[in-house]
Amino acid sequence: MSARWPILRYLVTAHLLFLLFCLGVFVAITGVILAGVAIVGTVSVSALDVGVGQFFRWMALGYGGHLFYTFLPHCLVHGRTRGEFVRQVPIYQVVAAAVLAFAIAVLYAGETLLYRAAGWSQGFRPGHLYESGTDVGAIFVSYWAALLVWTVVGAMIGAAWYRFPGVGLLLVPVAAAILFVNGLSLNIGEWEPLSGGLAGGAWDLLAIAAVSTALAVAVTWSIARDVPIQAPAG
Amino acid sequence: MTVVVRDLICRYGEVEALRGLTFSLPAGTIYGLLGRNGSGKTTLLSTLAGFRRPSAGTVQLDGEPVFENPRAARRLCLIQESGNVGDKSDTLRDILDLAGRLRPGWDAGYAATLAELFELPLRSKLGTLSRGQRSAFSVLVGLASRAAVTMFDEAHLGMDAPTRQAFADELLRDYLERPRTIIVSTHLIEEQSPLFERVLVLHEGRLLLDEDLDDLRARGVAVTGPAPLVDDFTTGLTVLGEQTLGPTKSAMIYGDVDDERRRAARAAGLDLGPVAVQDLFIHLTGGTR
Repeated sequence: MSARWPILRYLVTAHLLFLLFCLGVFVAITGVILAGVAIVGTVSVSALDVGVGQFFRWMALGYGGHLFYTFLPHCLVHGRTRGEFVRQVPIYQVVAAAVLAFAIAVLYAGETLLYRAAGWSQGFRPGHLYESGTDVGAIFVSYWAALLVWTVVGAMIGAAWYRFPGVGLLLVPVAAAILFVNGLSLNIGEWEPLSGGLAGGAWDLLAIAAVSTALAVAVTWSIARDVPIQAPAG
Repeated sequence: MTVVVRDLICRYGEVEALRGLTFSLPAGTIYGLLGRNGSGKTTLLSTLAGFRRPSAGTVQLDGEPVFENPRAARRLCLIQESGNVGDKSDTLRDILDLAGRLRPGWDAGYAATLAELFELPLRSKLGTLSRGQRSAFSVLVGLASRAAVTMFDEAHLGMDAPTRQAFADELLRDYLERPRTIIVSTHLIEEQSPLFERVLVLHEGRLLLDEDLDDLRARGVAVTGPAPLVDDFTTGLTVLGEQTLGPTKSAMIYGDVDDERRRAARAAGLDLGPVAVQDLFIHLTGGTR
């Protein structure tokens, strides 16, 4: 096979489908919890805002780490170079974050219809770019930025941990700082003094995410460009 | 498709694993890479495959450096003892799909044939296989890669004897059908040396020997016969090892035995034969511990 961008193609057609499946699992679990709350009490907040918004980004972080810690060596064994990997993976991360964000935005819209039909209140935590589940554009931008940043930061930690086991932990404060700034900009951190978020709007949010992504990718590249590939244990 | 190594040095911190290796590997040969534990075999193969950047010196494939060179990477394949061919949570089928998408020249049909040969359950996850099955799967990936330079670093570990034999037979059959460069690093010297055409011996990070297997074998002679006659014959020669069974004795001798002496030995009723490669290896690398 001599198709261009083979790593990107593989990730889009294999990994991204798996991530969409995981999103489905998250939504299903969220739905079960929502049903339980509806039976025993009153539904007053968006289940997606709590379930997907809170936990899915942590999965993005772990998945980003997996890409460099586990998948990079496989690519080299199968005849690819670090350079190809480091060029194609960030593009994939941008695409994957966009697809997932779009799916999540559609889910929010669906949730709005469900809540209206059931007569529930779809409350959101304050400070988001969106105030309604039908504000698809703002939801898309918020999640695209969040998932992208959390994935590239996860990749940075994964690359550091692979190359410098143990010592790679030293990058965690850098990663935490990037996530913190983005968390504030998205207001997905719950820090009262900045409950309105740093970003004044969608463009500010995207600019902060873009700078953060560029920084994380640059650090990742500096770590991974000549990382020795080790035989895995047993 | 010649691999040329010049003044290759690899360091791990203060430790120098490879100390200025220079050699070339012309295409179309099966090489045996031998060396004691810690001699630098894995580091050498990792460097040849582009898995590791040399600390100094060069590794070139047809005149191009191999490290971070996509053209070279396509033509190189290193299968290591513990795999790295895929995620333990993936099924074998998924990993073969990955290989097919990433590796130009991947032979999916041959991979399927090998999976049957090694009786590998393609729907199972890699992590659920026994160590021997994982090794067989890794070997499958190496052979089906059809890479111009295919390297196996103790890839047979964990395989049972019939599977190792099947691997050796298949490697040889496929090599004769599609000649390419194959490097096999192993500690199972006697079992796998029949595969080798040429042998490289590493010792303490240096290339101790690089010669045809037949030339290596000619460095020694095994002499067998009545014990007193064998003792007479070996007087003054370097004896690598001896075995006695009743009145019969067998001794492995290192060094050239001239024709006159060979004739005299045969006239006296002694059998002369090739010496075991493993005995020569042990002798060349400093004897038994």
